[in-house]
Amino acid sequence: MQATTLNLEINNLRTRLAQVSSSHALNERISDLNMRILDPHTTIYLEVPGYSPDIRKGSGNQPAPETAPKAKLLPEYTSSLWDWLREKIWTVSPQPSNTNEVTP
Amino acid sequence: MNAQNGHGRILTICILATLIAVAICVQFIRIQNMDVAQQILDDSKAYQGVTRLVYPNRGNIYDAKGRLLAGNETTYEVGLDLNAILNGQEETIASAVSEILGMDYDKVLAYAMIEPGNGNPFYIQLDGFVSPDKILEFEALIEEYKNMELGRNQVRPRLNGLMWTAHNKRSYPEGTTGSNILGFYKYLDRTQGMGYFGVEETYNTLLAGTPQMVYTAFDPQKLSMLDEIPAGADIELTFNREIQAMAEQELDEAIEWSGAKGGTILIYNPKNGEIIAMANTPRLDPNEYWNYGELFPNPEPFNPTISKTYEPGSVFKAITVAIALDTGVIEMDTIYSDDGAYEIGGVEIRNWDYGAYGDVDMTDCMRHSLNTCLAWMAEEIGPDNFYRYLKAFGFDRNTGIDLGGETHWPLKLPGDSNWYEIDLATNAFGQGISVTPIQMAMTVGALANEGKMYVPHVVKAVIIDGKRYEVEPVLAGTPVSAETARQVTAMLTETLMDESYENAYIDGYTFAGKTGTGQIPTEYGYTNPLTNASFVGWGPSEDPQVVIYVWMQEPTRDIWGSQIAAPIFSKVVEKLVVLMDIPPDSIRLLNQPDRQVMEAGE
Repeated sequence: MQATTLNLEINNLRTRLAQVSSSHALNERISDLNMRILDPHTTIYLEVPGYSPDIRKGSGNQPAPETAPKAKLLPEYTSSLWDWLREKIWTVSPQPSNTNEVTP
Repeated sequence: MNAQNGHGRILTICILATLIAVAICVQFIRIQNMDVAQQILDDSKAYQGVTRLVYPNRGNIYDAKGRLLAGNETTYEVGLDLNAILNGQEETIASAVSEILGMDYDKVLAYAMIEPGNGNPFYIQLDGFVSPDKILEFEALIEEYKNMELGRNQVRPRLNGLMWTAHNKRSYPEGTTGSNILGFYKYLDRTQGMGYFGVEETYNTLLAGTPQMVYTAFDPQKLSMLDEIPAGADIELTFNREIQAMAEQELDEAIEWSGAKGGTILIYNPKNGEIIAMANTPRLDPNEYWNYGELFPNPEPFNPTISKTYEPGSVFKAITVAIALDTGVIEMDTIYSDDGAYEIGGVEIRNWDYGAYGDVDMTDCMRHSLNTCLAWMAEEIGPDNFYRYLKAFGFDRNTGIDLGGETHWPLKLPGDSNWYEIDLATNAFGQGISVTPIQMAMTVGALANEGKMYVPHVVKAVIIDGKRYEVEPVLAGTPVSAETARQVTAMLTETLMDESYENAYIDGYTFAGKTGTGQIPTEYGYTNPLTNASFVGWGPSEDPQVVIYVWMQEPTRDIWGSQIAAPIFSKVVEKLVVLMDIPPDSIRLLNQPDRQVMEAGE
């Protein structure tokens, strides 16, 4: 339940962030700040070796959950009395195997 | 004797008890292993919990730079748990709900007074989509009631029974920007909601994910951690939000300036088929999708760029000249002697200005946009070759763009009952043939990309379970050779440098382009005084990175593409080169003087 609530909140915050940084909102801020679009003819171009301009900087690329959904009941509530008896009483516990001591 | 009898009875009871115990054990074992054991277990679950179909979060849609275009935001369902409403507090609830949610007081009070059970509901939904702000108001009110100082015999007001549950609502942070590409999701229908138009429709299954049946026990002690249902796939688009917004702004201004009925600005990457921007009018705010019917009265298409066909006019000459060059019926320096008229099929073709231009080479034919020259070219090519090429360019089918609702005009072919010899000539200069803007952009893309034509697409990648799957470009065909493509680019670059094309001039950049003024047919012929004004351009000419197609429907300021669409093209390119980081020729070609496109024509 906590995970669901947290997911709702993450989704909500991501969308709110996108709303406040939308192109309309940014254009309003740009005009409020008296900024104007760049004139390509007044631009000074510099060659920067190794610079790669295509960098993702947005809110995408978030990892999705990797685990598949499972039953939500704890195992002790799903096993029958028969299973329990078989598991707890009649199952012979394995003998500890002989281990070789390692001498330093 | 009595003792013996007593022992006997005890022994009998012990044996009976043992037999009963054994029988119980046997019955235990039998029930555990009988055929219907599993069914009994399953049936018992119905009394221990509830199984619900849980819908995963709908996947997000991002632009090419990872900025959210369609996501989910929290909203609340507010309702009444009738069992939990305290006696005498019905009016308190009705008053709070009517004040905060603006609902009718009497209606809410009537709901709150309902006795649950005996055929009446236990829960009543008041509003399925309440904003978090309103919920905060409810919480503040509850707090206020809690801290209220009460007088003698005064009852503390309580909102017990008024409940709210959070859930997701589809949200489009950019509003109308790119809405013709995105489509919309009918979020008000919480169980049967689906995507309509655009990416929301085409990729609905991926975005929606897989709903799953989830069992929830009534006993909270039995609940373990709830595993998350995997969300639907996220989708990353090819278009850039800033460029899309710029194209839409330019289009809106152009429509106002030109008095056009509508329009399209399409920016397409000829190297891989990616749509960089696709601006249309009108545009729907998908957050308020219920306005669809009002904004798009039948039969207005949601996305005219892919769904509306029209006669393009002279922009089509770029295709005809490419066919003529590729078939070898002309070379760039072939001379055509224009006397102002050309007869074909018993019909006389005239130039747009009814002028006669004398001896002209092929570049001049394009520069002056001579209908006579193109009609002659088509006849030289011949109907078989001409229509074979048009098919190779894809004019007889949809482009295959990954957006719902694409249409195309059925190409008339020799032998069809509605095809006449004159069609060969008029088709050559873009009349008597209809196209969609997306078809024109894709076909011109072949001229901009060494003859290779890519299927246009808007989805760049799909992200499923944290893994990103890139969409590979699909080659739609190679209708003309690389040499032909370079020659057409060179011719139309030279054309655009001519002062008669000053409206399309871009200071510092070399582009190829062609204007188009398409007459609009009516049932009585070409009697409509209005036109379709268009312009197609691509560049920078030495290594084209974009194809830009401008189409203005029925402008009233002027009828000519050179006067209406060309200046819009120029304005778009001026802004586009900044947004795409394309430096001017003087910078770009500084280190590659050998890459002048004009070489192709020499």
